[in-house]
Amino acid sequence: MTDNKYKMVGNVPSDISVVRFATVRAQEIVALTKMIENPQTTKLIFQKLPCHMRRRAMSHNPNRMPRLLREAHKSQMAKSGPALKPKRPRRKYRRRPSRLLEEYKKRSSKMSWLETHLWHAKRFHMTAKWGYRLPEKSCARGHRFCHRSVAEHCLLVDISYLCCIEIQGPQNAIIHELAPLCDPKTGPTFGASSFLNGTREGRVTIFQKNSFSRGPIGLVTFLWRHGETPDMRTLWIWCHPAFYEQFLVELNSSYGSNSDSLIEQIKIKITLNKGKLNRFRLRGPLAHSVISNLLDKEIRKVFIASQSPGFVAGVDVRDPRMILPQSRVKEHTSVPSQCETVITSRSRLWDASVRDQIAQVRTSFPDYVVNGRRSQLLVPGSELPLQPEEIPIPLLIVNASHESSDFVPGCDVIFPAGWATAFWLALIYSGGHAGGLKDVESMNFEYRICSDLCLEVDSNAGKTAAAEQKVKLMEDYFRKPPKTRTNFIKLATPFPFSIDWNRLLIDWGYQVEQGFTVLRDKKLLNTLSLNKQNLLSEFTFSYPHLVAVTIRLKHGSPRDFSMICIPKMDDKFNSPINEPIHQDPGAKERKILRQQHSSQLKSLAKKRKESRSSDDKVKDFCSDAVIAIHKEKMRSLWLPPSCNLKTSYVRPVIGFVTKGDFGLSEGKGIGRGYIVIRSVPQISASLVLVRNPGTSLYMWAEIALC
Amino acid sequence: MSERASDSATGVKQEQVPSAKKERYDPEEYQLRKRLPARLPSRPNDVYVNTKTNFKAQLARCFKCLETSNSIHIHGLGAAAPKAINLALQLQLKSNTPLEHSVTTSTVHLIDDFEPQYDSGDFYSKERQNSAVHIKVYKLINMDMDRK
Repeated sequence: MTDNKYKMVGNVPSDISVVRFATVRAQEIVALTKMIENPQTTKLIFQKLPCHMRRRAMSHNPNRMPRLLREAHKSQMAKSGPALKPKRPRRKYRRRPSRLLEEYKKRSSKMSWLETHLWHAKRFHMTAKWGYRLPEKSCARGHRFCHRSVAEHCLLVDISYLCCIEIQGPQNAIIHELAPLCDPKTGPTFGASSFLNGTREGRVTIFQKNSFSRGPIGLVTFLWRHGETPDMRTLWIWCHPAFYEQFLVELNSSYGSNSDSLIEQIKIKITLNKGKLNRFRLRGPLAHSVISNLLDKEIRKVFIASQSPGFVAGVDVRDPRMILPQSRVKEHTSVPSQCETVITSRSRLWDASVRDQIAQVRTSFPDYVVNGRRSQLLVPGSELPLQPEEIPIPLLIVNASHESSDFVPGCDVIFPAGWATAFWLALIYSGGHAGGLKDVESMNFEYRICSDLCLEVDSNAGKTAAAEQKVKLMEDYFRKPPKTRTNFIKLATPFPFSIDWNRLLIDWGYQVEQGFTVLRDKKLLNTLSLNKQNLLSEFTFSYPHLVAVTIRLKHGSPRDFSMICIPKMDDKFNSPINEPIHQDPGAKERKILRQQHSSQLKSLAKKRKESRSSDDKVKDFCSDAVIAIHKEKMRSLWLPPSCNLKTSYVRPVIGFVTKGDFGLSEGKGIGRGYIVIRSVPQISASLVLVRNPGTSLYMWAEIALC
Repeated sequence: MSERASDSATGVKQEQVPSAKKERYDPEEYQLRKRLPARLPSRPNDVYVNTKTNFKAQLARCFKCLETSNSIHIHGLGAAAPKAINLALQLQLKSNTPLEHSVTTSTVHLIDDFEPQYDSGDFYSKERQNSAVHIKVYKLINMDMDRK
């Protein structure tokens, strides 16, 4: 019983010495505390938490741990390698406009964006041209809608890709240096008195220095500054980016060729204003009403009254973000009233310092601040009263000038850089319809306006563009299988993808080593159109000139690259004439070549197999080179051979149509093209024959020199 | 004596010149561009007549307008005035309902721009007048006289 219990404790001493006890136990104590403080457990901290404190998210989110354990947990997580990469933000967040702009800045070395790019990119199909990303055609609106916009409403195009060159200096010196670049026989030039005081914009075709017989560089528009003395004048020249480089080279050579002393005396300064100004083009009967929505009430009445073509008006407007209407309004014509006050051509836009100051305001007074203030207005959507940070923005409004016999009213707006989106939205909301490059082309085709945005057929830029188009069309053609390709050899089409003007001129007996040009001399064109060819000397006819013509068909319409031919003497009007089907000598050759090629490929494949199995890697039986050679040969066999254009066909060819389609403005088929000058006397009663590429029917058409 | 005013926004000359001393312009020096007349607001029942469109098409358009509204205004400027008159009379002849017409004439101010073809010339404009005819063609509304 109790004796047994106490038997064990019989050996227990009655007293202990504390010091001795502690020293012996000290090692144990040290070992235990060591263990407590440095746990050598295989368990992680979060596993040692009691069950009711553990959370699922603490595996990746340390904030779910109790505070005291967080640091230790974080260090344990870090030991297991780097964390997962952060979640990629959702697509909508990635595509917000501010982030897109950052993206753009990274890739803007080769391609430039217009300021209104983001607006266009959401609504238009875009292309890359001349180093810019430009809107080509609308995703939602069709071709007819855009034509109606020009004919009845207002079409709005962003042409800020036009490059501006500013020349400052004494008036006579500037004119003297620019004189060799333009031909006075084609119309008024830089020094014409009508443009000198800066109230009108002029347009002139520029050539290479003193060589008017070779092709031009292109068409440029220019504007002098109003209100200056003849000692110090400013000239703005707007040119197309396709020939911008070439034009700069010409300018530098003409200004740089002077001796140094002259330059110091004259002090002409050339500044490149390439990205500093924006320009919008509005064409259509309601263009002036749309623009007048940007202006103040008093100026509005004066403005509607002043619609003189070519006139330049300088106005100051409020920040367009203040007066943006709440939703799009359809524009109506407003009746012009008689007005006594007159708009001046003076503008502060010419001052570089003013432009910089205004560009500053755009960043210092951002959109969200404006929108915040507008949302606090009592009546939603009304105009914001004058804000303290606002400064009036100078604009230049250039009325459209007469370019051809058809006149389409409209205007151009020029304003400083940085404000494109604000003005664009204001104009769209006031009733403008946006357009792209295709609409510009269609305007040029239907009405022959906007020729400063299109390239001349005899200029280098135009020839490059034609070559690019040729490559594209050829690729499209050869992508089709051989059975569905139109056989241009049999259907007697000499130039299905691009027109070789040199060939045409050689066949008509000209020498084209120096190149050819389009006749632009106004006097000669007048005499030709009045049918007074006998007045012209033989000299003009002996020069390789092309003459621009328009052909109109009653039934049917011409296509691009259609042939213009002269009827024979005894051809009755409206009688059907057909081109007989030509022989295709290449067909047999193509067949033989195809068979040879397939057998060659088979033999190469066999050899490759043998060499693989025999481990003899000496020769490489690759068939890539063979395929490439065969492709080239086949393509050349499909293309029509070059032949004499005057004699190879049933009727002699005098010219070609560069752009042909159904003309919506006239309601019949129209073609814009060029003919050889020597053929003009041979046209009787303005009747010619037109044959579309890939067809054999000759259609009767009326021809007019435009 | 000079007819050329300073190049202003509207481009209209200020003085009148006696017709005996009218200066003809040299077609080589200048090109005449007729400016379009100011576009007037066109309500749905306004029909503007021109010489280029087919007569039958314009007649069909007039009939279409008459279906929806009670009256139609026909406007003709210059050489289109006889055509407008013809249109109104044909409308009366061929319509099923009895139509009445009332005619007014007016003068329209037109501006011609002279564009210089060479460096030496200057832009100037001349104002001229042309006559226009406005015909209102309206249906007779039957007044019911038998009602007591």
